[in-house]
Amino acid sequence: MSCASKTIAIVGNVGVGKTTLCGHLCKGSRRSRTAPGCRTEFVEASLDGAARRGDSKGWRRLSWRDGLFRARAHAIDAAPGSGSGPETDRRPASTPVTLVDTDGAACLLVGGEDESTGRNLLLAGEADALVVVADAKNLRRSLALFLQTCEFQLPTVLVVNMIDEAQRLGLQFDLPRLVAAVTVKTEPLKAGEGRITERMAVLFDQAQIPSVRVSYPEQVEKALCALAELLGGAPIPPRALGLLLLAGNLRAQQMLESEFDAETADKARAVVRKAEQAFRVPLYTVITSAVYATAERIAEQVTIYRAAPGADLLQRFGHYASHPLFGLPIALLVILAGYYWVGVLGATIVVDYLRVHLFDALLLPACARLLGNLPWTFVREAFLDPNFGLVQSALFLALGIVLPVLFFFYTFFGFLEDSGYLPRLSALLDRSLRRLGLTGQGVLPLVFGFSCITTAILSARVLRTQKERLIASFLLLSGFPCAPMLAVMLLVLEPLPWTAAATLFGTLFVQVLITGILANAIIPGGGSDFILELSPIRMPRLRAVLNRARQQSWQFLKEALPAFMAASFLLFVLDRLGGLAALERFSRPVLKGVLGLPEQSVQVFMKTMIRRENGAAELTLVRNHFTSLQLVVTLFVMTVMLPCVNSAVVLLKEQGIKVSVLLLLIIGLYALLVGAGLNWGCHALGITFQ
Amino acid sequence: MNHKHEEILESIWVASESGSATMETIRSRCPDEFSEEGLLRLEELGHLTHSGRELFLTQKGKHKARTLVRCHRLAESLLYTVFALDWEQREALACQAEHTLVPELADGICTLLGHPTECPDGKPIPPGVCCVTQQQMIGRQVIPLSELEVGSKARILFVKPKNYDRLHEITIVGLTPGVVVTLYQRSPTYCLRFDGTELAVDHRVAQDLFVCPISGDHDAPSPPPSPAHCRR
Repeated sequence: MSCASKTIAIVGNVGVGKTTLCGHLCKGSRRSRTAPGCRTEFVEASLDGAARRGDSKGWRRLSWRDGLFRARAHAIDAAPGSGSGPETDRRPASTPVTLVDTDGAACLLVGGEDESTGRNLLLAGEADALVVVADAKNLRRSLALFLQTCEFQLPTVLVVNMIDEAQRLGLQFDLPRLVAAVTVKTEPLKAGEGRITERMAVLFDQAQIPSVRVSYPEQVEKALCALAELLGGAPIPPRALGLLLLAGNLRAQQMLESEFDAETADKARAVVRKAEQAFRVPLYTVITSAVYATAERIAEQVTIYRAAPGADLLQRFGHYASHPLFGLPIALLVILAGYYWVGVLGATIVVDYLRVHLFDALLLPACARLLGNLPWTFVREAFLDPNFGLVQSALFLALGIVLPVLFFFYTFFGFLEDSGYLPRLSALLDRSLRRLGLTGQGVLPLVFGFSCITTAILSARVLRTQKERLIASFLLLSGFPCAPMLAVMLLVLEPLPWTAAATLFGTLFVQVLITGILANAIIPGGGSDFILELSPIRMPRLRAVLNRARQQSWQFLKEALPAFMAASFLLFVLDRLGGLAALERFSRPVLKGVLGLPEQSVQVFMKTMIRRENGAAELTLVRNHFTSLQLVVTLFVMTVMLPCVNSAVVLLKEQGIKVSVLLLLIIGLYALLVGAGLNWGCHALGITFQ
Repeated sequence: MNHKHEEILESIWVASESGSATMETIRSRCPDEFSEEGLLRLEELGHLTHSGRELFLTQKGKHKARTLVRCHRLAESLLYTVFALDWEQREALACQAEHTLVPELADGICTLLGHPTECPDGKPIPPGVCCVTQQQMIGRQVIPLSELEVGSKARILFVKPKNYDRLHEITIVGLTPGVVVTLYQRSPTYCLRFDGTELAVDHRVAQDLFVCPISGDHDAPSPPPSPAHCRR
């Protein structure tokens, strides 16, 4: 980000549609997407992306950005390198704007141990303007957050989202009154509305610094005045810093120490102590109560209550989804639907079709003809070797097998995510998950585990205690196949009888239960509270789901294809140098003796270490060397034992080196043990899955 | 008997709660200075006796002091849970209220607050007649959300959390006093609806939310009136 660029932060509670709005505002430009509540790094989306590509539609859509900063006097120059299209010449000189999609915050003032990007951004003084996204259905809570942002004295726009859903619940709003109360421009939006209208352009043009203030109890106000005098020269407004200090925010305390001399810091701390003594309850509860009281007052003034129409079909479905009796059958139906969509349609029908009609008939022969004439044998074989060649074991695996299945998986997953079903699942499973040391909130990371283990470990941050985060990471690493892996697993299992899949997934499920119960008993600490908003059930927009699945698949391709190729090449070189044979000899006692696997499993495991699904895909190539039982055991050990490089790195970052190494060692040994048990157990019972 | 005499009786009760009713401890707990005359007057009225430096309440004195302390602590609880006043303001108002509250009104406040056993400072509130007969008044009293029937509506009167973090969590999801909730499921988690929001909470949280059931078919969530409206 260049120093001349301006940053607009999108802030709001969890699930109010910040990401959707951000997506619409910077349509066409590059951005990454992560699981809700776990955006560890700012998701930045440069609005210039659309203009650079000469997308005139995009440019019109985004032309408001010049106006936004008109009120803030500064030199506006054309952004360097921000134009090659024909529109550039006609463009007025502009400041490049970066939209920052922050993670959902419940409260900006209180807290500080967690990584709330919104709070950190505001505290660092890096935001130049704010878009506060409110949920019309819960205006009080959204306004409480808005009131907290007001303390930072930034030009702000309030977007009241999901106005249509609120209307369905019998809530209407007196918008002129709301504008008068919050003292900034306000824009109503429908849920998931993609149209960023001309009104929006005008609105941003008139972003104002809000003048509405929360009235805190007298002692707090006195302390705030004293702190504001002491803390002049802070990177953020002194009153905001004072409020953060009174609320006990850790980062504000760090700022106090780093930005001010010891004497000022001591004086400020004395003011805070004095204010604390005036109340019997912690100051942060006093401050939160005052903020909520003001928010409530405004919400009451602007809300017009109407009789709500009866529950519609979707609402009723929502109730049944968390119902003790109907919830479980619905969950099973959802899993079954997922299996048919991903496992049957994606992994079997589409992959087979692509293999027969595209790869076997056209692409592979074309590559063979093209590269077959290469003069050097080594290079030719590096491309065309049936076992380790780049064409067969990297390109075909990634494009022909993993990618199509993954696309189907992401569409299914996106559908679930957008439908609002997942919070219901959390409510349904809260009690069961408590036995594993988690709460209903644990559903989110665990379900994400079926998408990507790395993302899931990151999203475990939403869990409240260290114990829960540790257990979730452990379970994710030891029992959850990620989407690409799952896709290839289904492909490997497809020709085998259903008992093979049942045994594999059954064993995985049972061992997750057992390890969870054990971990809950061993790791000290109690469970946390479960309070979760059940967002309304809505019919997901097909276009949005498909779009996101396309983006995610593309992201996968960019990350995985180089890794696939590197792994293939590495194994090819190792094979030619005789290293693979040596490794096979070396690991034979464990692989053959303990797990009963053939030598080819070495290359499968080697590839698994680089990317899990790469190993599983390798298995589809060498499956002729394996018996059915060996396939099941290999898939089990791969799922449990080996995390991919990414998730290992994230684990290291989240849990520290000691815990991570210990965790990985335990999981490795455990996988061998259970894998051996599975092998011997099936042998003893005479199960061969033939 | 004037307010000063009542303050002395109250101080003796509070001092004996801490196990020592000597003249010094009583003086330290009494907001007003008192003289020998005041003590003699109380002795004449049959409210107290003494033995050396220690003072003792008679049955009559105990009854009077108990009523005063009950009124004071109930007033404090009301000012804390409903009006969220800080300690100094609470203390000042409760000191005035204890002399003027009639027992019926004190019982009304007690019922409204769900027959609390402790005041906000953690001191015991002497139980009244209403606490003993609370079983008969089941329809009128404040109950935890966990005891609310499925499908019924209730107004949140106060939150009595086991820890401040829980209070913070409960506040930031919008479950503040005055909000009308409808409970539509109790198991496996408590699912409730208020304004335009649906929430799921676990048993421990549901136990800390104290509500007053309201009857009628108010489909639209009404703006929260003062909690006193709850009493029928």
